[in-house]
Amino acid sequence: MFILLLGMIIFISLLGFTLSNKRENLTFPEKMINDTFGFAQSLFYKPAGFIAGLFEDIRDLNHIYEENEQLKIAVSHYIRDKANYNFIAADNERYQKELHFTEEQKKLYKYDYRIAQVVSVNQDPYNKNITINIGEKNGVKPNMAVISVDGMVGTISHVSPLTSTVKLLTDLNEKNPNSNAIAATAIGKENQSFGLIESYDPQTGTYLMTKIDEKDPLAVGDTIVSSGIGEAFPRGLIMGTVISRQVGDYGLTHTATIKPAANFDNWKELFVVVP
Amino acid sequence: MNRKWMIVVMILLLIIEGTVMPWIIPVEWRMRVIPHFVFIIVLFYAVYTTRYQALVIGLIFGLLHDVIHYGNMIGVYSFSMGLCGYLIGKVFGEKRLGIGWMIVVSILGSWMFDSIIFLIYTMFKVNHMSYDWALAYQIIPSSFLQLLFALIVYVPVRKVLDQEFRPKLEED
Repeated sequence: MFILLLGMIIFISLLGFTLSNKRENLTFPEKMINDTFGFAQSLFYKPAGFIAGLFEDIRDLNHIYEENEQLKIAVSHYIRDKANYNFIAADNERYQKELHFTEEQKKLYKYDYRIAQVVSVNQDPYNKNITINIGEKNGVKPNMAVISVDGMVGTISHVSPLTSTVKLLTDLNEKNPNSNAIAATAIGKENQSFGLIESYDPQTGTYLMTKIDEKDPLAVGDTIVSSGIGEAFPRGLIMGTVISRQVGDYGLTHTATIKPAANFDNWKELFVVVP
Repeated sequence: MNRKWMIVVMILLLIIEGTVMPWIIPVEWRMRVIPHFVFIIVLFYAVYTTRYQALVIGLIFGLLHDVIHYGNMIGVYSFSMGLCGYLIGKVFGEKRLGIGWMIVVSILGSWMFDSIIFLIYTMFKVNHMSYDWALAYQIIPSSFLQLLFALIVYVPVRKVLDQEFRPKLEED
């Protein structure tokens, strides 16, 4: 009985101690275990993904013509926008020079994207996270944003020398002591629109964006991107599209339901955004 | 094959849980069916060896899982695996039960394990979903995967665990 009580005390204090999100630096044994298992897991994950991918490729063969058509349209849009973009980028650079921007200010929005391979996935519904194969030695630090080809998927929570853990956005919750809200805005309305993506609802699979002003022009169908206000997250990372907008709990501000752009099912390559 | 190899097999299972299983489980069930293969082996230890062994192995492998997949806190799996292993061992242990009882044990055990995890995460305000929802969404579906795994490995695992205990039983 006494031993059971002692065990409970030890475990509850261990849980409480490791819960704090200020505990960003791992101890040496943790780092060693993470890196060793990360290496072993990478030997399994990739071949399994390759074999599973073979079957998926065959299944997707039907959609390939449709997809090709859409991609052609997207490329033509891209070429047209590219010409426009070059003019604006050149103008912007000239203004920055004329207004005497410091080196630091010029580099503020220049991000570096590091490619990373997924080595393992934890499916625990209360603690969903994935491990990637780059770490401290590649310049990864806690709280950096992680994106897939489709959009933002999470943030780095813990870093070891050779691997790091990504906390997925499906863990977002305004009541959770470990989660931070993300400042967001809509594409095309960057200066007028603002809201906070605060929580993810596993029952419907959507984000909830809160603290939207009544007069905000945000509408259904808008693409939501991170705004970079506060500089905790890089700006311009795609979060999702607005499904619906409604009056919030207290009637003062509005909330919006957002369908995530990234899918949280298949993990292959991810990018870590290094500011 | 002796006990030492069981440790290697369990480490392999721990790796497979996080790497191969996400690819095998169909997309629609990926969030709902969660493999806990190492835990099933802990249950085998509880039923076919002593409860103290199950406790120690549960604590160690749970802690390993917690460290590798460290998200919110360390110790959740360690605590639940150790406790479940011990309790199952206390009730069902050392009776040399057959495969029928092992079906009951693996369903009961995985329900208990997932419920304790749910309880801990709710206690620390990480989880905010209701128990009814968790039960229907993931606890019951995953217990079937655990049962399937228990049936697949029943014969080889029991052979290994019995091997160690048979000489001792004959002496008695």
